[in-house]
Amino acid sequence: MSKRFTKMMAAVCAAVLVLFSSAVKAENDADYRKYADGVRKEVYAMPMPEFSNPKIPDELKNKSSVVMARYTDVSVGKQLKFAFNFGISLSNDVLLTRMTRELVYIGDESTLKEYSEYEFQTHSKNWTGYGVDRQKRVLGIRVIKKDGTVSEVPTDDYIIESEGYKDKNKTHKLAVPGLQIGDFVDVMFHTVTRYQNHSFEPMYFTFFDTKPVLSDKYHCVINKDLATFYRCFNGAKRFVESTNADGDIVLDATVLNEPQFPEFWVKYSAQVPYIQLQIYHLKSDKPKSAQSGLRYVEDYETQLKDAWAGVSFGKIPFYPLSKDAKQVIRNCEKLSDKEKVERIYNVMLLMSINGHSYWGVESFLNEFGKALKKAGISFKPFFTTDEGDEPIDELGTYYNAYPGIYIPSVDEYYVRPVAIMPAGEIPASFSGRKAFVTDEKGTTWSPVTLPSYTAEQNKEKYDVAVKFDGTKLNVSRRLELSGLRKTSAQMRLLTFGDFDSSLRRNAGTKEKSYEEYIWAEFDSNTRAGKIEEIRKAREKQLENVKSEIENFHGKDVQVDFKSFKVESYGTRRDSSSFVFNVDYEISNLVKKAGKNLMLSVGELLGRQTTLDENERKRNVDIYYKPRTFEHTVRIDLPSGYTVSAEALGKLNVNVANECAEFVAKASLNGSQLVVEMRKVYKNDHEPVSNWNKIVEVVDVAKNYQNMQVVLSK
Amino acid sequence: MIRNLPTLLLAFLFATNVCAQTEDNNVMVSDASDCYYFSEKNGVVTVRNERAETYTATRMWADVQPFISYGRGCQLTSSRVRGYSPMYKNVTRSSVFAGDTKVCYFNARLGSKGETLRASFERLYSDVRFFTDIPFHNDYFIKDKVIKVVVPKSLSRFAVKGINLPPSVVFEHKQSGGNDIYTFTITNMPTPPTDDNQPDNTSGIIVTGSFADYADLYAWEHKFAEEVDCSVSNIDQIVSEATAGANSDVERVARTLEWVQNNIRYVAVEKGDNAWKPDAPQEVIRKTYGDCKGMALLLRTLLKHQKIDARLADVSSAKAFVKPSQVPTLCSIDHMVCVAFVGGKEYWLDATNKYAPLGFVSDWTSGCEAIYEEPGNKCRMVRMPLHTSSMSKDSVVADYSLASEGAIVGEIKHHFTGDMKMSALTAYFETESQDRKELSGRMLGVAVSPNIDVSDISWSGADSRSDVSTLSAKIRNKDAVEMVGSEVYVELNPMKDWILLVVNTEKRKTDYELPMIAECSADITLSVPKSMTVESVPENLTVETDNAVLSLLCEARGQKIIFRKKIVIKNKIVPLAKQSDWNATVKRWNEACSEQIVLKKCNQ
Repeated sequence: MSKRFTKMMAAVCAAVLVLFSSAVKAENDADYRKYADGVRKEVYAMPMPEFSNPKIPDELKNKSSVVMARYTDVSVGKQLKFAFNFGISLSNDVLLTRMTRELVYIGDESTLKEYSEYEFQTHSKNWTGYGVDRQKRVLGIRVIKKDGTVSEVPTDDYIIESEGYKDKNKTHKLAVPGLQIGDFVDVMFHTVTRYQNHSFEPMYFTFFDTKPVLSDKYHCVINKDLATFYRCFNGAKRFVESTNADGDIVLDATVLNEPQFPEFWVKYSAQVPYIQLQIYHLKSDKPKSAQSGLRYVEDYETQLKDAWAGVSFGKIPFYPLSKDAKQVIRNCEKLSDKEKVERIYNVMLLMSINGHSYWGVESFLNEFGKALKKAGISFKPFFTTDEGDEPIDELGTYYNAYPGIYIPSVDEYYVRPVAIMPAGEIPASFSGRKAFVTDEKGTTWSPVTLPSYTAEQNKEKYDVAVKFDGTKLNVSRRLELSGLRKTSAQMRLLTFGDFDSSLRRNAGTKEKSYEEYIWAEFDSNTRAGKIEEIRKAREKQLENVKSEIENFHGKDVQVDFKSFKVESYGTRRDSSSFVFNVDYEISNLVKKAGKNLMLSVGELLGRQTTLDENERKRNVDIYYKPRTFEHTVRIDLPSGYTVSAEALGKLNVNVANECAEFVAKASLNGSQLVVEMRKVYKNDHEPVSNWNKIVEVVDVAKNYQNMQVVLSK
Repeated sequence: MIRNLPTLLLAFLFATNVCAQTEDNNVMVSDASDCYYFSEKNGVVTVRNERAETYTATRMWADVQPFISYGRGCQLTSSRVRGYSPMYKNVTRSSVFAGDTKVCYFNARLGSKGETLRASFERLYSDVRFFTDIPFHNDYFIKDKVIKVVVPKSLSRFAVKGINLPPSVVFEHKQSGGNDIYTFTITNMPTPPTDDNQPDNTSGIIVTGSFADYADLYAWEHKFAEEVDCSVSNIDQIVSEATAGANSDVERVARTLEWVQNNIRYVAVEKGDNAWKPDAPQEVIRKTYGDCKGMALLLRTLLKHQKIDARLADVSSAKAFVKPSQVPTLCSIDHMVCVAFVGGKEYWLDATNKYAPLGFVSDWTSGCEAIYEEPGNKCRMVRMPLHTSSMSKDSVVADYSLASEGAIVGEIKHHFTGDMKMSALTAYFETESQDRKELSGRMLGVAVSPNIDVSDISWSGADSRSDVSTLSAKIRNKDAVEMVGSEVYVELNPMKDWILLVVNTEKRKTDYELPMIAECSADITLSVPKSMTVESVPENLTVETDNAVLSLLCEARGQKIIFRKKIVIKNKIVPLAKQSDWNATVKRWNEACSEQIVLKKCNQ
C-alpha cells in the first residue's frame, strides 16, 4: 500500500469520524448551557434599536398588551451528512435556523400571566419517511422595567426537568423573575431544525395580529444553491432582495403598525397581507420546476404542473378492488350514471374507512378513478385549493393544490371525501372555490368554479312542539339541517357505526349495517372490541345530544333530557338533509305573574348570536357562509290561558336589508300559539361598509331571544 | 405544597386514556401484591417496596397502563412488563410549576378475553419520612390484592393505619418471626367514582412513626426554614415603602401583607430542596414570585425587621388527607403561612390569597390545624379561625324606578367580601382590559343584550387591603319589563344563583360539594310610579335544609316594592341520599324568585 494511499485513507477515515461524531454525539447539560448562553449573547448583541428604550404610546397604555417590536430571523442552509438509520447512508439535509424575538408591553394581569411562564423541550426528534428530523431550542428572556433598567434572565433561573430513558429528555421551565405589570418583556425563541433528506413545508410571514404590533421585521438568509420561491398576497409588499458576501440570498421585510383583525367572521387567506416562502433542497424531495436561486412566483401554471406531476388519478393500482366493490360495480350496470357514481363513491368510501387505515385524499381519488373507469364512467381531473389557502389562479406552491375528480356526465365535482356528505356535495372549505379542470394527460387546463351553496341551501329548520305541565314545558324539537349547516351536527350526533351503515345501504353492499359487517368479518375477539366501541360511541352520542340541547337553549335553561331519534342521516342524494328529533323537559322558562303566566318564548327559538361591545366595532370585511334559519314553535297553551292581541303583536318583527333579515310572525291557532321565525344571512362576503346592517339584524334577533309573552288567564 | 405523592398520581396522564371502570368493566387487577419491608442499616431506616400486579381482560382486548411513582426520597429500582419497554415521565399537578415526582409506566395490551399481563416494580424509600401513605391503586377494578407492611421489632415505632377503610378492605395485624405484619386484603374493590364536585377522598392507609409527634414533625420541617439566609439588602427601603402612612403595628402588618400580595405572584416550585425549604426572601423579592413557603418567610422577615412578632406556621388544609393531630406525617401538612402577634392577638397572613385583607381566613383553611413556632425552639398546635358564611358575602343592592318606556332604571351595587371577593377580583383582573366591561355586566347579573344598557361601571375597594370590593353601575334594563294592556310585569330577581347548583343525579355515586361556605343576598327596591298600583308580588318563601337557609321576602310598601333574598350556605356537602331533595328545593327556590311583579296602570 503506498504512503499516499494510506494518507488518503486516513483523511477519509478522519472525515468520516468527524461526521459520525457530530451526528450522534449526545449533548450534555453543560454543552447545552454553553450553546444556549452563546445563542442568547449573539441575539442580544444584534443591533436592533426598536428593542431598546421602549416607550408605550399614551393611546395604547390601556391595552392589555402591545407588541412594541417583533423580529423574525430565518437562515436556511444545506448539509451533506452521514445518516445512521437502519445502516449508514448519505443524507442531504436542510438546516433551518429560526429566531423570533418579541418585545411586549405587559398591560394587565392577563398578559402578565401569558408572558410570565414558559416550558419547552431543549431537543426533539421526529421520525419521517425520509429519516430523522432533529430540533434544538433556546429561550431567552429580558425584562425591561419602566425606568429603562434591563435585566436578562440568568440561565440559573431555568428549571431543568428530566424524563425518559436515563433521564435523557430535558424540559426547561422558566417563571420569569422580576416581571410585573407595566414592564416590557423581550422574548427570544431560537430553533435549529435539521430536516433529513427532505425540505420543509412553505413558511408564511403574516403582517397582522389581533393585538397592536408597532413594528414587525423579517430577515432571511438562504443558501444560494437551494431553490427559493416566494409570493405575496393581499397587498403584502415584496421582500427587499439582495445577496451577501457569500452570494447567498438575503430577503428583508418591514411593516410598521400592523393591521389588527378581529377573530370572527374573517377569512385570513383572503384578507391579511402575507408572504409565502418555500425552499427546496435540489437533491432531496422537490417539485419538478425547482431550480437553485431565487424566484418570485408570478404565475400559477408552474405550480399546477408540479402538482399534476405528483398525482395519479386512477392510473396506479395501489389497492386491489375489494370483492364488495367489484360486486357493486357489476350490480349497477343498468343504473343511470348518477346512480352508478353514488354507489361507487359510497363503496370506495367504505373501502377507505374499513381495512385500509384511512386512505389519504390522493389514494382515495386514485381508487375512485379506477373504479369509475371500470364502470365505464369517464372523468376529468381538476385542481383547486382550500379556502384557507390562496386561490388556485394565484397558486404559490404545489403543496396547496388539492386534486379532485370532475364527472362530466353527472356534472359533479369530487374533492376531499367526507363520509357524512352525499355523493356530489362539496365540502364547506371548497365550496365556490376556483378550480382548473384538465384532461387525462394534463395538457389543457380550463378554469371553472366549484359549486357553492346559497343561503337557502344552507338551512337550519327547527319545528318545536311545546306542551305545558304546570310551569314545566315538555318540548319535542325536530331539526332538519341541510347544506353546510348539517356537517358539524352529523359529526356530533351520529356515530361511526351510523356512517358506516349508511354507506353500506347507499352502496348496496352485502352486509347492510355496520353490525352485520362486524359479525361477518371479524373473529370473536376483534368483534368484542368493535361492539365495545359501538357501546362507547352510543354513550358519547348521548352526551353530545345533551350538549346540543344546552347549546341550543344556553346554559341558563334547566333541561331534563328524555329521548332522541335520528330520522335521516343526510348522507344520500335523495334524503340529503340531516333530520333529528329530541324530546326534553324545560323547567325555568315559565314564570308566575300573578294569575297569569310569563313564557320566555324567545328562548324556545334557540340562542342568537351575541356581539360584545368590542366586537361591534369593525374595520375589515365580513366573511361567512350564507345561511338560513327557519324555526317554528307551536305551543299548546294551558287550559284557560290565552294570548292577547297586543301581546301577540309584539311578537311580530320584520327587519330586512341587502345583507340579512330577521322576520318573526306570531299567530293564535285556537289554543295553540304559533311563532315562526326566519333569519337569513344572504351572502358569503360583505364589505365592511355593510357591517351596521348586519349588526342591526343580529341585535333584533338577540332581542327576540329575550322576548317574553304573557299568557293571560 | 401538597406532598401527597400517591394522590397526585391518580390524577396523572392516565386520566384520558385508561379505561374507565364501570360495572361492566373489561380490565381488572385480578391479583396483586404490594409489599413494604422496613429495615435499618447504620441508623438509617429504609423501606423496600415490591409490587406485582396481574391484569386480566374480562371481555375482550384492552390497552392497560401499569404504573408506579417515584421521586424525592424514593428511587425506582426495577420495573418489568414482559415484552414492553418502560416509559418515564414527570408528573406535575396543574397548581405546581415544577416538581420532582415521576412515573414509570408501560403502554401494554391485553390481546384478547382472558389474557393476563404481569407487571412488577420495585422501589426503595431511602428516607422513610417520604413513605407517607399507601394508595389502593385502583384505577382498575381490583379483584384480589394484598398490601403487606413488614416492620421488624427493632423498628416498632413504625406502623400503618387504615383511615375510613371501605368495606372491600380487611385489615389484620399480627406478629410473626419477630416482625409486625400489617395486612390489608382488598377484595372486589370498584374503581373510584369520578363525579363532578365530589368531596376529596378521605380513605387510605397512612404510615405512622416517622415523627414522634407534631412537634417532631414541625422541628424537622422548621429546620429547613432556619437554614435560609433571611438577609435582604434593601429591607429598609422595602419596609418603608410598604408601610408608608401606617400608624400602628396592626396597620404595619396589614400594609406589609399587602406589599407582598401586590409584588409577589404565586408560583409553586417543589423541586429538590424547594419542596421543603423556603426560597430566601432576597430571592423571592428578586424573582417577584414565590410559593407559600417563600411568601410566608418573606413576610416573617419583613415583619421581624419592624420588631413585630411574626412566625411561620405549617397548615394542614382542608385538602390534607390526615391531620397532624391524628398522624404526624409529611402528608398531613400542605401549606405554610405567617402568623403575626400584635397586642395579644393573632393575625394569620396568607399572601397566596392575593385579595385577602388582614385577618381573613379562607374557606379551605377554615378551622384547620396549624403548628407555629414558639420561643425556645418549641411549637404549638392551634386551630385556625373558623370561616363562617358571613365572612364570604356576595350581595347585590339596587334601587330602581320604572321608566315610562318599559324599563327598570337605577343604580346597582354588587358587594363582595372574603372568598367571594377573591373569586370576583381574580376573574376581573385576569380578564383582558378590553373585555372587562362585559365581564362587569355579567357580574352585575345582566346579560349582554341590546336591550340592556350598563353605564358608569366602577369598582371601589378592588384591592387586597379593603374588606369589601364593590362593583357599581347604572342600568337601564328593558328585558326585565313587559307591558301588556294595562298590566306591567317586572322581574327584579337580579341573577341566577350560581351557588345553588342542581346536582346531576344520573349515575352519581358520591356526595356533592357546593362551591363554598358563603352568603349571597339581594336587596332591591323598585319605585312604582304613582300612576300604577301593585297587583301582585312574589310569594315569600323560607326554606331550611341541612346545607342552606334560603329566604325570599317581597312586599309592597306604598309605591315601593322591596325584594329581598338571602342564601346562606352553611354546609357544603350534600349527601348522596339527599341530592334529589336538594334539587327539588333549588327548583322551588328558582321558581319563587323568578315570579313576576304585576303592576297595573291606574288610568286604564
